[in-house]
Amino acid sequence: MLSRTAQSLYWASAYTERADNTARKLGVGYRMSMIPTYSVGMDGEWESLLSSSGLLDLYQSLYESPNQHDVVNFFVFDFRNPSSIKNCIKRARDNGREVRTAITTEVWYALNRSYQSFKLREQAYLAGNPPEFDLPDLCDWVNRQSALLRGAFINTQLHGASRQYGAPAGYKILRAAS
Amino acid sequence: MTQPKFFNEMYAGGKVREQYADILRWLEGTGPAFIVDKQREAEALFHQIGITFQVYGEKDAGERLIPFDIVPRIFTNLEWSTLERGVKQRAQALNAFLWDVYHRGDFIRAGKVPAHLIYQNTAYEPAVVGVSPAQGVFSHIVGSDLVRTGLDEFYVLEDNCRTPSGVSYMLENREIMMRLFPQLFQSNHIRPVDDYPDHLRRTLISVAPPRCEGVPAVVILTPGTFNSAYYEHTFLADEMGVELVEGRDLFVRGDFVYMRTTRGPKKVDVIYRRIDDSFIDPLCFNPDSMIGVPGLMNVYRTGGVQICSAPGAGIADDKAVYTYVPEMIRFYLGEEPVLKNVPTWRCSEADDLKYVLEHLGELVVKEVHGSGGYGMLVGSASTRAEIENYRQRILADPHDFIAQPTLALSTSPTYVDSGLAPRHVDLRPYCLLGSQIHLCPGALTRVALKEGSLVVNSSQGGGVKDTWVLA
Repeated sequence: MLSRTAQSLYWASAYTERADNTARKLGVGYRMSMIPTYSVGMDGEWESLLSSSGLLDLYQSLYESPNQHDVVNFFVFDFRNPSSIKNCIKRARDNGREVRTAITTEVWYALNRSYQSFKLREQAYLAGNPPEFDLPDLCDWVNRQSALLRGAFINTQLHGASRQYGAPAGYKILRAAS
Repeated sequence: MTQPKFFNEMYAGGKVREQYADILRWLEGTGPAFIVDKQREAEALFHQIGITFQVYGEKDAGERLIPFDIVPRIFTNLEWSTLERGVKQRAQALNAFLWDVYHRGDFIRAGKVPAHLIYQNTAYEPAVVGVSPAQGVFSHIVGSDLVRTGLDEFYVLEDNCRTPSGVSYMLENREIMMRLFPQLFQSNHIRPVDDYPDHLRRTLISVAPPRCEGVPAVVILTPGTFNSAYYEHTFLADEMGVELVEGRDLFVRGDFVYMRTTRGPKKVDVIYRRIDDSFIDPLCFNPDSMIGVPGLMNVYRTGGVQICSAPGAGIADDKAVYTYVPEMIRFYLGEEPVLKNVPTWRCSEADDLKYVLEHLGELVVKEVHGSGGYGMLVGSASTRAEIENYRQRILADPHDFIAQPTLALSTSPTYVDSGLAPRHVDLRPYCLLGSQIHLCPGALTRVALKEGSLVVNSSQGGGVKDTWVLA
């Protein structure tokens, strides 16, 4: 296997894992925002989400004080945030596309389809349709996509170098780091 | 303005030609709703597989689908055998010419072509002079663009001796047709095209360099994901079971080229390169190239690696050299050309230039080094201002232009919004040359989807069709 292929396989799964993580964190933040707290102000939980992700500085350079709408936009759709779900999904697919010959059709479809349907979701969001953005639905969708990809990888990818450098390595290293 | 009469490939003498009878019956017996459904299904399939191309110069340089028309274009075996003879003959003559211009130059010595047209041509590579590639082949994949103007009239519009693209569409179009309309494949005997990658692999293996030992390692060299034909590169690598490499995956050590793998360096014997000459070796050509392999040409010249097609093969498909191809066929093969050339005026010659400038409104003018339908003038479809603009460009540098009459391109029935309608088509078959010569019984048919348009390039809004050769 080409060394570059190993690198791209690693990053394809690492970015998918990162999108998955971000979606989980957003889900938690969303739940917390519905629970009344006394210690911090209204949107305090969003700030804690940003700082636990190491993105508070970047956020503050781009937006005013944290509020649900901006934070969600920042985590999900903002291309200026390198860890946004949008960027992760795009980069996972870019990496897959670079090594299209080293992954199975099923794995490619999973990557390509997440990317294509995310674009549709983004269009709907920008068009304000539905007016109330359904964050839990999006988080569920991201989690499902990454489960789908992991499944496709484990199910169809040959046991060998690609398994060694691909999904397991990508997930394990990121999980160990987070 | 009176519309010229075009040859519609479905009819001959007012009657439906036999090879189209079945498909026409089928189309007429099928509701438009069903066909529109199928067309949509085809698009979904293309999207899912990721068959897209990129258009350079577009602001949002995203990936676009190539429009696919579901009505196939059909050749009888008899028609095809003439085409096959003509295409093979041409491909052989072009390769004989390439060998000649990089060796003794007999064609030039015999006064068949002016020396400056070859040796001062930017497509001529001095670095390749004296190189004798395996099997004597410089251009291993020749894709000549053909057009039809009558029942038995075919013209070669241009040759592509470097890296003709589009073959993945030929294969995927067939794949999609078989998925959507299996019944048509049962009632027609259509020669298969799916062994093309296998023939390509064998061709590449058969031209392994002299210093290769054991089974030759073949790779495809791509400029990367941003190239408009990247999908095709991955497709061919996948189908042939070879590595798809970028320049940074390769390096030269000593007399050979190696690729970087997770198990250390692995020697590479044959490189099917899909990048331009000027980028393949920064030490030999464009020093700014980031996508090439430094030192590659040294290894090539000393027989350590085969590059397909050879650098410098572009001299054979140069638009100014094109006019001499019939003469090449006579000179090298001692045969009469089977396929005709389109009469061409070279603006570098005073008489021709005068004629061209006087008849701009009815000619097609092209840049000698252009490709992809960019920078050409279709006189009959242009405004006064566009023609005047172009006139100034020609006058600024006449050597850069050639002109041809507007051909009455044949039409093929195509499914458009209003139903079945004739649209202009061209044809690109793929000829492989190694230890053997092989022409795939199928081709890429490009179709100009705009009514009356003669420009079929995908970058200019053209679509594609499946092309059948009946057994």
